[in-house]
Amino acid sequence: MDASWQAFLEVLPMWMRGDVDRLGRKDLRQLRLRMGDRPILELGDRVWRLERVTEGRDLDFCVNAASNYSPWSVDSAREGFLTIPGGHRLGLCGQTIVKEDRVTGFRKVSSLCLRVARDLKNVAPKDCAALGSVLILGAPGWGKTTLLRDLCRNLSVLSAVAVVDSRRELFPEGFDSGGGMDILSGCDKEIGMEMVLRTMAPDYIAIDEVTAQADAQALIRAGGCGVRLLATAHAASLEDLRQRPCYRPLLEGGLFQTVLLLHKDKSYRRERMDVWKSTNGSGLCWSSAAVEASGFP
Amino acid sequence: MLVIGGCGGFGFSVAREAIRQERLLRQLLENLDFMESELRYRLTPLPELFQLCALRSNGCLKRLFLDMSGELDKHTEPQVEVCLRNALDANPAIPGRIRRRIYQLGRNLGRFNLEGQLQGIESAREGCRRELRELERNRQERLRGYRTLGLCAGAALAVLLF
Repeated sequence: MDASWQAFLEVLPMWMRGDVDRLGRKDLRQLRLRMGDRPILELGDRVWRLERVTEGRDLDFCVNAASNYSPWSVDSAREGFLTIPGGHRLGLCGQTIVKEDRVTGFRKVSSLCLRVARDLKNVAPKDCAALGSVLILGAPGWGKTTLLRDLCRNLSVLSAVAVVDSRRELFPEGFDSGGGMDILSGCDKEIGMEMVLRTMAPDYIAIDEVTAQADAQALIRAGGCGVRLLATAHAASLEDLRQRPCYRPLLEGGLFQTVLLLHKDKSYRRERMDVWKSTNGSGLCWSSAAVEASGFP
Repeated sequence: MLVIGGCGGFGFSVAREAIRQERLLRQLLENLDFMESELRYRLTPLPELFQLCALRSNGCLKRLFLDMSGELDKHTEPQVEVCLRNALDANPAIPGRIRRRIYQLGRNLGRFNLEGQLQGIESAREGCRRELRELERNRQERLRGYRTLGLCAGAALAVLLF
């Protein structure tokens, strides 16, 4: 059995492991557990419910198994998620403990969302070295992290790739990182980028999910030092991206030469980005050239 | 002679057990101090924490910490309390005073709130100190009493029987 899938099963209560393995080994995307409700398996294009109802002790089990009985030791728990060995994500919901306006933990967990990470190879464009800096766009669950991972692996064969893996989801233990890759895991993206830029002399820096202004600013600083960038962002289209203030500096600065636009069926379109400002300096446009469609197997 | 020796031996073993419990409580107290600093400054996960405690201990407490770490590593129980209970069940040589403190620890460990964990450790430490104070009260007289009682009981039994 694939080690990553085995690690996912080990986080589940004993009674549901058999059913989840039987039903979801090939195409489980997400497993939702809610107290007092039947577990929901989201499989590709269909949804399946198990018969038995989830209890509080089942949710406790998942949290404790995911954190080695030490949820207080996991920084990300305050942000509402834990990373499970194998790179899977366990999202938490329930009664929070708030101290000085900050969430410090959970008094009671009432629901969980477990997202399965699958490592696919040979999904990135073959000529990735010619792409320059790449921005991968897609909605949640469309495969951005999977595509970024494969891109990093391919590029690391001939170039020095530094990965700032803040949530330990890009290259968790057991995932093939290839050669030529330096992985900084568990630390904040902004700080991590500064560190690898100064110490690892990278040709590429990769980060997953640009979500904050600070991430965007750090990318701009790194780009200014001549490093090529690989990043993902939540956006269903370029138009969607353009409307978000966080990403405007990235687009206006011409930081990325290539955008890979993912679709729900895991296919993606590749577009070149040429950026220029309009005559009154307030707009920006891009042209698409050499459009190519690819996808996951 | 055999009867006196046997009863006397029983008295001596009661005294020895009291000394052993004192030693184990002190060892546990030292480990609780260690756990508090590990949690506070290094956020050490519990399985690793108990492994480290086992390295610092010996005898039955070392075995107990190793079993506690092993139970947590198995990932078969929903709560820390149940894992510690299983480990205690596998170590019948652990005296009742120590068991009570471990049960108390289990009820407080494994939560989201670090402060709550530290308070739980402090409660267990206070419990250990209380038990030690009780054992240290009139210690020498008590131990001498156990031994003397044992010998006297043996002598009385010998007289009665013969």
